[in-house]
Amino acid sequence: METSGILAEAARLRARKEDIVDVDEERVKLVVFSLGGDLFAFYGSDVKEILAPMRIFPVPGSPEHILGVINVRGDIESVVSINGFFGLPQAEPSPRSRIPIAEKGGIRSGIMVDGVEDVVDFPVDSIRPPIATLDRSWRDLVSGETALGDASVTLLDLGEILRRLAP
Amino acid sequence: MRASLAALVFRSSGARMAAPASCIGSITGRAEAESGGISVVGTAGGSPPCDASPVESETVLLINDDGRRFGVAVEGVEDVTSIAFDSIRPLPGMVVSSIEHMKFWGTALLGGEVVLLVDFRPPACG
Repeated sequence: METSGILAEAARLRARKEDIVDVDEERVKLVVFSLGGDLFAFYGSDVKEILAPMRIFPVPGSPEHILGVINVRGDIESVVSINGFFGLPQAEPSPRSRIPIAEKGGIRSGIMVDGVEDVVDFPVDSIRPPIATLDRSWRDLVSGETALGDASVTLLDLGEILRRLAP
Repeated sequence: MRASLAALVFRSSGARMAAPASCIGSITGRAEAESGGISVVGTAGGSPPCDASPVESETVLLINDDGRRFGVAVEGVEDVTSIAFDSIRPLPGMVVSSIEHMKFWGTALLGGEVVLLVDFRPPACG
């Protein structure tokens, strides 16, 4: 094959490869966690790290949703509970509990959850708008719905949650 | 030499706290303080010396602040220690924005534990 033929074939293969990339599904990373027996998720890009349960130091005078502060390698982070938004009692930390350190809109905090179930790349197309019948009290805190296996996963609006917690 | 703060470490309202040793006149009993006409407050809820919540503890820190004298009831006094400036960290923004009358100005790490640094001065009353 002449060089011009080789170059043409190479160009054709490159174009084909680009075509394949173009049809790839767009995906987004979600941190799926459990709270009160239900599954919820945050966008992975908003979660800086996920911590195992550790000693939480209370801050007297703070509201009930602020569980206290923790020492993360010499830095002090707050830990909050979001159970109250969903009508759940304050959960007692257990060995399964996790503290995702989340940051959005310039507000940062650890959030106590019952457990982190998975960190998964979901196809963007699999995320649907929140269902219309969603409880009115927390409709504004939800940005979408998806599924993990057979279980429904509620994608939370982390920015709105943190704004409400840090008035 | 590392810059540091001489602080009295104590327990109050279920938390470990520290205050500059220079602002604490003495440590006394509650009955003794009250018999001397000193008002005794706690550290839960509002800012000392604003907080007038019921005080159960018998140990009282006598605070001297520009001629103002008041007592702060604490659960126990640990020690006077030197807190290196480089172990002092600000409180997280989430905590600062959520407490109406902030009485804590920072945190320090002592032996891996978080200690709340208390400001007894009147401006902390808001």
